[in-house]
Amino acid sequence: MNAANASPVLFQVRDVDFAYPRALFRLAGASFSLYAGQVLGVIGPNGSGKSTLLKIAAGLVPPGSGSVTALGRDIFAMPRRERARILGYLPQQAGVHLDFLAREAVAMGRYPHTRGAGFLGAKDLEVVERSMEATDCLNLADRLFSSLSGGERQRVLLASVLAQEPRVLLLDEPTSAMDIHQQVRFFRLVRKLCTQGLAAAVVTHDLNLASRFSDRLLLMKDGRVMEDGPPESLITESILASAYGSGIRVLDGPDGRGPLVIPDPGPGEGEGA
Amino acid sequence: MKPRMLTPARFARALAAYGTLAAAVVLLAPLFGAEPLSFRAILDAVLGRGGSVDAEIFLLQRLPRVFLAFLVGGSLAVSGAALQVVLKNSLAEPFILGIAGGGAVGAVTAISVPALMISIGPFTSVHLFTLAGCLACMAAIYRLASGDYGVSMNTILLAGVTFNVLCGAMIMLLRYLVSPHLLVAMDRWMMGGLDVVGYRELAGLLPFALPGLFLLFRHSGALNQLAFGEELAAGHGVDVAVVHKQVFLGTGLATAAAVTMAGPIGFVGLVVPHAVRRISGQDQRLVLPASFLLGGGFLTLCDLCARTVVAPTEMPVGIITAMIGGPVFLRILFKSRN
Repeated sequence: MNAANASPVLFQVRDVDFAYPRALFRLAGASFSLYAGQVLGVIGPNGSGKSTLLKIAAGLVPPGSGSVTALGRDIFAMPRRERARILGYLPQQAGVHLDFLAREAVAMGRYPHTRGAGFLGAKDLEVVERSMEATDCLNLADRLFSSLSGGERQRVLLASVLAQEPRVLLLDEPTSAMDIHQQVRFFRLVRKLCTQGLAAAVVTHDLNLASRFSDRLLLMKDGRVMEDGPPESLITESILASAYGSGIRVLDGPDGRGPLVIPDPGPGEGEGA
Repeated sequence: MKPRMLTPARFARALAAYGTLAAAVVLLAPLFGAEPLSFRAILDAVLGRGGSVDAEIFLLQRLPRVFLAFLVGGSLAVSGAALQVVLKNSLAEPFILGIAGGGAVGAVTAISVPALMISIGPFTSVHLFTLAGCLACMAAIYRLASGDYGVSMNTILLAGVTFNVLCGAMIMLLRYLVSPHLLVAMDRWMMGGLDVVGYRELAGLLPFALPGLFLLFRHSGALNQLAFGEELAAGHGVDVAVVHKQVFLGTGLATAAAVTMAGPIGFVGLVVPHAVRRISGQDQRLVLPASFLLGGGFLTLCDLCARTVVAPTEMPVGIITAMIGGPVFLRILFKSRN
């Protein structure tokens, strides 16, 4: 898991600065790299800049300064469809106001591979089915997207991102509405995809999922990258306390696969005092 | 009806059905009117076997009017369909942009100041001022909505509604100031109508309507993507800023053309896209062209009613679109509930 330097770099964000107009928040000098075969967990308190960083990484907003490269090329100089064949971005929120079927929603991911009227060929449809199978949503295919639950929607939208057949996954809180089984399933899937040569950055608030499934973690605070390293060195009570504040306890995992984070109920309680 | 994925075969079948319907309406509508026409006389004239009054009415009066009705109805319906997607609002229709408000101010100004009477080619001062009003409003809204990240659809919606209110106030002011006999002409314009039209007006409309429609059809695939939000669409490879800009310009041009020639004809742009979506599903690649055909056919039929129901005089077509469209729309809503 520590082959960071051996695996090829697929994606790099270097020294990115960004400020929203008329807003206090700024992103300052943020950098990270994604390596083939590795999952990067992006963690940090609310408002620390995780989503903004991912939006810049996905090319949705250009940074004030700094660079973003995928496969060695500047993503802001690439045609949009070509970029979408390399980067698969799943935003935090994606509502729908038209009654599309779940299968149609997944088929939207083939957009960067189509031309003209954008009708799907046999190969496209096969990729759509395969993507739905991978995220366990084939059974939802013929239901209206708007009738699905939050977690089901996330699986369908992830399938639409996979249907792009990207090399790099940039996922913003992809499991926030899923039950624990689906969360585990999801992160196992991301790991499996990475063993096939992809690279992934996953923003999550679940420190345990991040700790147990990521090769490296990126801890953000106040628009800066505070730490970048393996989970064992980063998930400690002192580092988490300085990033998030108090109330977090860290235990050694029982199976030697990463530390565990538990909430601290505070003094007195639970002891009957 | 259970929605299914759009395939080329289904797309072709659906468009053929809408197209047949539209063609039937366009061919049959000009045969009916205040003056009964002899089909044989028209045929003779078309085949070059001597003209007649019937043929003249058919070819020079009714046919251009039917084409105009079709183009106006189609443009309004396509504009409505596209706006409902980009504004994420199923009640959106072309006049929400405030463009019609600007056009109305232009028309009312031209009517109230007879000294402004000019004409360029086939266009009267009312046409020209309406078009100028539409385009001025469009430019103002576009400037207001342009920001750091392209045009903001939210601002367009709010600015459009505000412009409509402002334009309404200006129209009231003008109405208050002018001599009362001009009010009839103003009211008549506000009701919308397709009367007094020849081929030259129709041709003069095309430079606005065609580029507008082209911009909208061009982005019908991207509109599907936008239904899932700008961010996911951008992730899938859509240049959201460009699509927003061009859809606004496209609806603006198509609507300006329609309002210039026919006044503010309501309801077509709202009802027709919804009817198409209920019948044919949500895929905008089909919804847009189908809305054009159904909208064109619908307005042509409404205009046929306007020409014939109270013949030898005419009714404003805007009244008919609302009176037919409203109940039909309610029925579609009611049926889909059950």
